Amino acid sequence: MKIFFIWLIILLSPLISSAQNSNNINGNNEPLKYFYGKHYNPGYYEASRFLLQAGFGGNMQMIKKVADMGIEPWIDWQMNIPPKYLLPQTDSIFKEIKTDYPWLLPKKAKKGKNKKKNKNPLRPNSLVVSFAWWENYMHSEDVLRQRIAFALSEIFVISNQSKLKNFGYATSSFYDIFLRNAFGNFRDILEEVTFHPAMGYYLTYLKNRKADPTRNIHPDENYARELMQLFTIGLYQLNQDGTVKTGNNGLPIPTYDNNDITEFSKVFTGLSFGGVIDNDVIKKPRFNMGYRYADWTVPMKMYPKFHDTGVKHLLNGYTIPAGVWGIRDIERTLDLLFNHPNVGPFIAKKLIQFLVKSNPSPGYVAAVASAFNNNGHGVRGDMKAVIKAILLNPEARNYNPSDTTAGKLLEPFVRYVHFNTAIGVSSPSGKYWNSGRLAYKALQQYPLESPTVFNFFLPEFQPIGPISDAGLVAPEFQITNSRSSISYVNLINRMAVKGIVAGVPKLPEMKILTDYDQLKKDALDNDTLLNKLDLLLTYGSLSNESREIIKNAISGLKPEDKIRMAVYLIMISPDYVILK
Amino acid sequence: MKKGHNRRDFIKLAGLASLGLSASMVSAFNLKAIQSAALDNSGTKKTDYKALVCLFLAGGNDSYNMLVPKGNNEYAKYSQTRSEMAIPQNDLVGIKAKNSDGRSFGLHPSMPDIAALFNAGDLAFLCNTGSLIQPTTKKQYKNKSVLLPIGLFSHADMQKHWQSANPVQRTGIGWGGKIADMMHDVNDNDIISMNISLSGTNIFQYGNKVSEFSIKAGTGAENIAGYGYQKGFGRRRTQAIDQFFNRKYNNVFEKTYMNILKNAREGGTQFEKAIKEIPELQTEFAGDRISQSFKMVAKTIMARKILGFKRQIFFIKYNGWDHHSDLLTRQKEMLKVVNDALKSFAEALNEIDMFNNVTTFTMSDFGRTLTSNGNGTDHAWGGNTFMMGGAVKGKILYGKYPSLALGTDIELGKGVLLPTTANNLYFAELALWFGVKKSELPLIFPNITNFYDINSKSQPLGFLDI
Repeated sequence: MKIFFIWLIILLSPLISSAQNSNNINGNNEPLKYFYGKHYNPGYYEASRFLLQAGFGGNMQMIKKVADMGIEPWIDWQMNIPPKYLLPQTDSIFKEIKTDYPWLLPKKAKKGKNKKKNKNPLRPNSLVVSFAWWENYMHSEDVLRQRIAFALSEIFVISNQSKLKNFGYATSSFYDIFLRNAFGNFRDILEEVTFHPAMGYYLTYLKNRKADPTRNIHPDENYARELMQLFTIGLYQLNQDGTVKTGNNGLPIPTYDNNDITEFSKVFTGLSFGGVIDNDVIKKPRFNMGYRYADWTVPMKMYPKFHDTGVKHLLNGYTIPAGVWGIRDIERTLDLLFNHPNVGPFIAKKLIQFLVKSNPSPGYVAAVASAFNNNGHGVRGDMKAVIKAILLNPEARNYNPSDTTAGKLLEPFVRYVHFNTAIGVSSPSGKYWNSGRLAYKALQQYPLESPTVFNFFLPEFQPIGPISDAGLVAPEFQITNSRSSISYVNLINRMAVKGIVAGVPKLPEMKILTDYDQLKKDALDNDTLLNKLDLLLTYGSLSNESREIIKNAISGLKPEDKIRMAVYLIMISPDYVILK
Repeated sequence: MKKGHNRRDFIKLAGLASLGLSASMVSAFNLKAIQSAALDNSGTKKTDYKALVCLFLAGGNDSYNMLVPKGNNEYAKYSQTRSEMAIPQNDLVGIKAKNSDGRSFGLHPSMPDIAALFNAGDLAFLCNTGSLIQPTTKKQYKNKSVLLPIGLFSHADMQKHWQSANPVQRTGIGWGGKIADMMHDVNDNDIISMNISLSGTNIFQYGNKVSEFSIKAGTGAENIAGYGYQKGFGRRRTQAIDQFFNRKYNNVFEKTYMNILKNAREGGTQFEKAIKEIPELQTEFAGDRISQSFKMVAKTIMARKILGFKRQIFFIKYNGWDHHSDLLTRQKEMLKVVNDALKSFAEALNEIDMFNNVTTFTMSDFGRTLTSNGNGTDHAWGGNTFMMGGAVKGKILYGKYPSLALGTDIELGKGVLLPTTANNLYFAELALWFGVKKSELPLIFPNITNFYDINSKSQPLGFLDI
């Protein structure tokens, strides 16, 4: 009842928040003062919830900032923060490691008896990229950009579960596509993804040649297929509200067939590396060059000799005539797909599912698709408009605890970053080098580690029980089973109870530790502590039952142990893992 | 595993158990168990144990480089069609099939032990099989005059079709899950699912009431650290978690999360205890995840009595078969992993005297184009699988091994082969061996009657001793 009342106020908060800004219960300035035993400014709860949709959760400062600014101005502010890219950070950490910690880098391939350490490795591996991801995240304010980039990396999937793990410049510069274009245009994302050698490698159209009928060789079809199925239009024709169109026979209408794939595959021929790194062996890139001296950070280029210049019959009667320059072929194809009516609802629904809820109403999808189709100024694919449409929609903003089918399982990786954000961590070395190895094992999820191009989970997954009974989907439950549900609990135990967040292999002094400093004062009183954690972790949604259970568990413990127990129990509770 | 409707039953039964009734008496109180345990088709008593072990080669194994024609004429066609993707004739490991029509065949050079198992009669192949809704000719395919599997040639859908045996629609329910829905009550364990996965949640093992119990290679089940402690922090933690488990949740997502965690907690504890009680396996396994997963399956089978299982379905998924590039190198490495794992697994099953009770079989998204894309091969349709175990009538190639020339009446372009044996027949044969009744087949395999008369006396394919 109490919570319901709070949220009633929040519904009205746009009206009253400006009045509160200058005269809110926390006084007007830093440092924050907490009112023991009292709940917070209602706007704080909304901000905390919002930050789990628009970022990886918030800490007190972030929450306060959102509440003070108001949600839309905060989004505008975020969209104007210049991106901090992964590639330069990866490069800088790589150089530091080469100088100071060379043993962290992989050894040279074992050949014969020569098993020497690689004294001069040419490139960082996925470990260094992970360090860079965390260095950037922990030291930047642009959480919206980072969260959108992570979501996009779950749509345009490449993975370190391949040789790419040894090509850190490739993967970090690929991830930068999403950081750069998170607030740009979807067409540019398509463009950059398509020409990036990491995608070329992962979906095997790097060095893809035109057909050679004399040798029974046909072009590789991999990218042609996944570009349509996963990145743009999906398998079936959609209505603008994301529901599937059906034909006269009552069945879904496919968007393309295998002949289309064959035609599209001709388009993606003739691409290979666009540059070489500084080396003594090869001066200019060649179509058939090896990976070692390739510059994986520059777009692939067209080698006309290997491109199929024949006529290409693409979708719905659209034809590219023979003799078109290879790059134009690709541009036209991307334009064709980008303008397909499926893209808006297809991408809208995916992004909503990543950020806000598993089962958006058709109206919600339609609103976001419409923003994709036209940002209000005649521009299609404007990511700013799409993101605002997602985050400002009443279905995202309104919290209704009585809706028993609302919400989503927070992605495991989001929960992990949330701990780092909301609870506080310290790094005695001053570096935030998190290899992510332990986290990935426990969570079954980590940036750039998807097992296949289909991401960690499928958008239509239905777990047995009340969710499938209600005809709903819950994608994240596909990686939640008897094994991972417990390994998650134990990861939280490691962080919340044992106090160890991450470590660097072979560098014990670079441990990252849990830092409960900000909670120590609160822990003097049970209710104050729970109020604080309820704000930081569960945005005021911690149920009375769960609160009582946790309160019992912490009563009589030493303050430090109270925090440990309370953080652990909240973060494994259903109240927390389900974003409502 | 979640089977909500059974929770109360289990609590009742557990109550009986605590009154001193033995496990088998407890199961006798379960009426369903008695019904399902009739298992008339299998001709076996309900005390018998059977397991199906599915090895899923995810990504689409290029299985025409796994089972290859070796005779000069047939090899020449193979070699011409495949061009640089062909394996040299002399590298193939010859096998001696009983029914080769005078043709000779060889296996990929990475599979000498699979060849030995085949030659010993412990393993058989099924040729050119794939997902179909109804019998389909090349002409019907071209004219689209029959229903074709949805999302033909796409990984997600083709993997789903193999696991669901229902290529008409997109569904998350698998045929292993449906079998478990019908049969889980023959087991005396109501906490741990009879469907055990070494590769997490999957469609194959997902039913309407029963899903998989996920364990991992190496240590088996996960357990909550510090749970069950009697003192201090651990006691409080345990109490609080138990209270979470017993709380009521209204939100369907919260409810689902808690069901999974609660079942995992109970099952994990039970599983760990059982694995500790069994003796160490003498058979050695390689260190990779696939071999270690098979080792864990063998250990779980060893613990079947402690855990109360009479029927189990295991699932191991091996990712990375989508060899659009580097086919020759990568498939060579990966088939070796399969070869070594299955060699050890067969050995281990013989060590524990379970080889006749366990049937291992492979599935994969699809075969790959016979023609090359220069460095690898692309998505196709029909492909070859194999099955291993004491119940398998081995040393035989089932189905029809096709000509690998282009332009045949099953070749759809680029060396995509139309399957000539519906994989539904493969599955139905396995299901019948496992104890499903012929009359129940259509409940599990909705299109089976398009390929098989369930009233017929003959088996769907005849590769198992039923």
